[in-house]
Amino acid sequence: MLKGDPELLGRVNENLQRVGIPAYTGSIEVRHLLWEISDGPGYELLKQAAHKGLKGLRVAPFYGCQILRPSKLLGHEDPDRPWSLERIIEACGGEPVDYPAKIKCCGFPIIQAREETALGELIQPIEQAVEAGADAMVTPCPLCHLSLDAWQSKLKKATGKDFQMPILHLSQLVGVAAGLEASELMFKRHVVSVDPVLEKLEV
Amino acid sequence: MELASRDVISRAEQTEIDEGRGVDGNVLLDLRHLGAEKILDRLHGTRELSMVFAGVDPIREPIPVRPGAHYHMGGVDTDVWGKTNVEGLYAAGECACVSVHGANRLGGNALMETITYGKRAGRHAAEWALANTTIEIPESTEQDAERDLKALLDRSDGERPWRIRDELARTMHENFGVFRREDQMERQGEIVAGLRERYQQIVVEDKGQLFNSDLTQALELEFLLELAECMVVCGIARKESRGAHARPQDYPDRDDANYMKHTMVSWENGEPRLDWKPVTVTKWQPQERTY
Amino acid sequence: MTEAALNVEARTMRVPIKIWRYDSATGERALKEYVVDAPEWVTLLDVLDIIKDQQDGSLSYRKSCRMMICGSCGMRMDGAAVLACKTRMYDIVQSGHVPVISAMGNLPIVKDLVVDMQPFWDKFHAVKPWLQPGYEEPPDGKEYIVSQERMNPIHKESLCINCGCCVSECNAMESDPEFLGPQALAKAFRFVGDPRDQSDVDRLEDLNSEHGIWECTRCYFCTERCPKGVDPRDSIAKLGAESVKEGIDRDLGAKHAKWFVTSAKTTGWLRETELVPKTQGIVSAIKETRFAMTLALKGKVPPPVPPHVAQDVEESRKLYDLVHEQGRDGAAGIVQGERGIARMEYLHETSGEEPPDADG
Repeated sequence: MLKGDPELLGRVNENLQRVGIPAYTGSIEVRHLLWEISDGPGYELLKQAAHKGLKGLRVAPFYGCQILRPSKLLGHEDPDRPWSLERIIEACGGEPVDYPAKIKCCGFPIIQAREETALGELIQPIEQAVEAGADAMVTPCPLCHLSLDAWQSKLKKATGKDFQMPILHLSQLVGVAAGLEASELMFKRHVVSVDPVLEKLEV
Repeated sequence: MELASRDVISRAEQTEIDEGRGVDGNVLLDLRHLGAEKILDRLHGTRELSMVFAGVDPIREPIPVRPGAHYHMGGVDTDVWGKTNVEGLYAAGECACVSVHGANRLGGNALMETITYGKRAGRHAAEWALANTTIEIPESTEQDAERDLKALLDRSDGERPWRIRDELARTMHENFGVFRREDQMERQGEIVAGLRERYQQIVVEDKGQLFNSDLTQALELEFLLELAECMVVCGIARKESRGAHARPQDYPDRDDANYMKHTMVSWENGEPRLDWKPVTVTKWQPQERTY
Repeated sequence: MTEAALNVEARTMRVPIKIWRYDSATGERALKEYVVDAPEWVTLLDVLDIIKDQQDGSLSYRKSCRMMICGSCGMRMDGAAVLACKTRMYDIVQSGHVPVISAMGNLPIVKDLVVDMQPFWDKFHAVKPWLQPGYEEPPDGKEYIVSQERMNPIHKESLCINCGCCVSECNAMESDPEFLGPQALAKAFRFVGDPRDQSDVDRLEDLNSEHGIWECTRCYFCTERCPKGVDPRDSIAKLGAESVKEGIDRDLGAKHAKWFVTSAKTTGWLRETELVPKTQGIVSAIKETRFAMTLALKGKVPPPVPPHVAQDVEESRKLYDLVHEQGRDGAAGIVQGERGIARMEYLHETSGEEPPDADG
């Protein structure tokens, strides 16, 4: 946005200068881990690193809203038919599981202010992933990770459904495939146990 | 010239096209001198239309354009409160004719029709509705309408309306477009009569009660045909050129002595009846337009 | 240049399409396939017209202007809300894909592609979508003039054509049908941001109700789908900022948002641990204790004291003061950057080529 609007960039830099921060030159290109390893040289590196493999683990990709939309600002992939997570899951030796809610909202932004509405959103991807036979879900978004993992207990309380769906962050999925130790991947910090996944992979 | 009124522009475009200087039936509107910045900032909508429908980015290429039927300068006759001559019926917007535009509407002036007269008509209609709960409709009128509707819905064989609609559109454009000639207008009168004849045997496929747009579109076609016939009768009768009514061959000039008056038409016994209404001139005297 | 533009006898193509038919009176639902021969320039709306005229008169959909102005023909193509009149079919046909057309979401279906817009209009009317100037009409037939510059902040909101494409896909409304939703809220900002409107505080009070601005889940579907570039999510963010600026911060959402500002100002970081008590208040937070303990035990919550203070926190504090000094603590602080986005879009469309100069 700043690169396309010299007037705005001027105003921002004037303000930065006034508080003693160096000017923004517009030379930084913001990239996401998801984009880096789903295409190009990063993808080649991923394939080498993921030598341990996911052994056909059925993984449901969950993208998160703000890595897809607004697509005219992000522009990495078709926000309605994204492919990058699937490509990474496959490169890691897993089997991507398809389901409609993978591009929808997890409810996190309003999970404190409007919990009921948020839970109504959160249940969709988890329920659909379960129905599609996923062993785990993976997301590149830390906040989606938090709501999908920690708020499952609240879904149980509200609906009686105890999904026990393990939720992996994208970096953890790659870490497992690359053979990192469970302790390095901080699985002990998960609310829903990741053990079933690890057992399946005989880690 | 680019900022002249629309009838003037339309005639200029059509003349270029008719005399073989067009590009495949269009003239080209070049905005490139404005620059990308201004087009992106100020002409976003124009650029969008051009890109979606013509596949042309006006920043890089001229836009192909040609005259089209854009706005109906006439309409249901109302007073300055949107009141029609039917008790309790008000009209506002493009369907109405408060007569603020005369024979040509200037760019932006439809806002007066919607905002100013829409507000006045709405307020007046609301006041009328608060003071009146019912109006008398002759029983026969209701029965006639129900009978016609039933006949239309009961018919199971016949012509689908779309061919009639498409033919009406095409021939009105050809014979009743930017330039009008006596012989073409008369020919169009015959065509419309023929189409109205065919309309008697149309078939509506949707027989349901729910959002039946097949039925509403068929009814609208009947109105279009009647309206077209009114336009033909009025067009032939106005033997001058005024605003969007241009007859360069036989009556190229404006004739205030005989035709500075409103054309009024009403539908009686299945055909249009022509009448006139005087124009009240107050502050602004009509003048010749020059650019 | 396309043939449509040139009025040349257009080449035709064969268009296969599937449509979800529905009748709310009987509850019957069926996916029907149609194939039409159509000129290469057709839009989805043109294809529907051909089907209705020539194959099945009972197919129902709304339409009027055919040129992206009236907002009648909102519907879904492959699950995504579009304006039928804006959707050109050529590339889809070339790709070999057979699109599935259905009615918009989040609104009850009446028949086929026609939805009941009443809930939409109810929410639209709820935000009082008219100007409340609160000043007298100027005397002697004079007029007040408002500059283009002062109207620019609500320019994009003014482009809304009430088509419902944003509402169709609103994730929060799917979960709570009473949520006011993106269209009504974008319209509300069109008036809150209008320099002539004098009832901003009343409007913001209303919009801070249970189903108002703070129920937006930031999924950005509205912004993604809007065929006119209104970007409702941006409008909602601006309404939130204006509310907080006006001191209307009783909603948990407002408190939540405010905490981000406060923690950035005091520490230069987000103080996550205090987010829950600062958002929900102490009493509710205590009720959440068990849940919070679970998270704490898992090491998800860093200890609250002492708060970690960034080394250069002074920068953050100065920026905070500067923003207030410049009056950019409300909607004006949310930079839409239309110019930048328009330019990016343009460059995207033209594969990175710079726009030509005015003289070029």
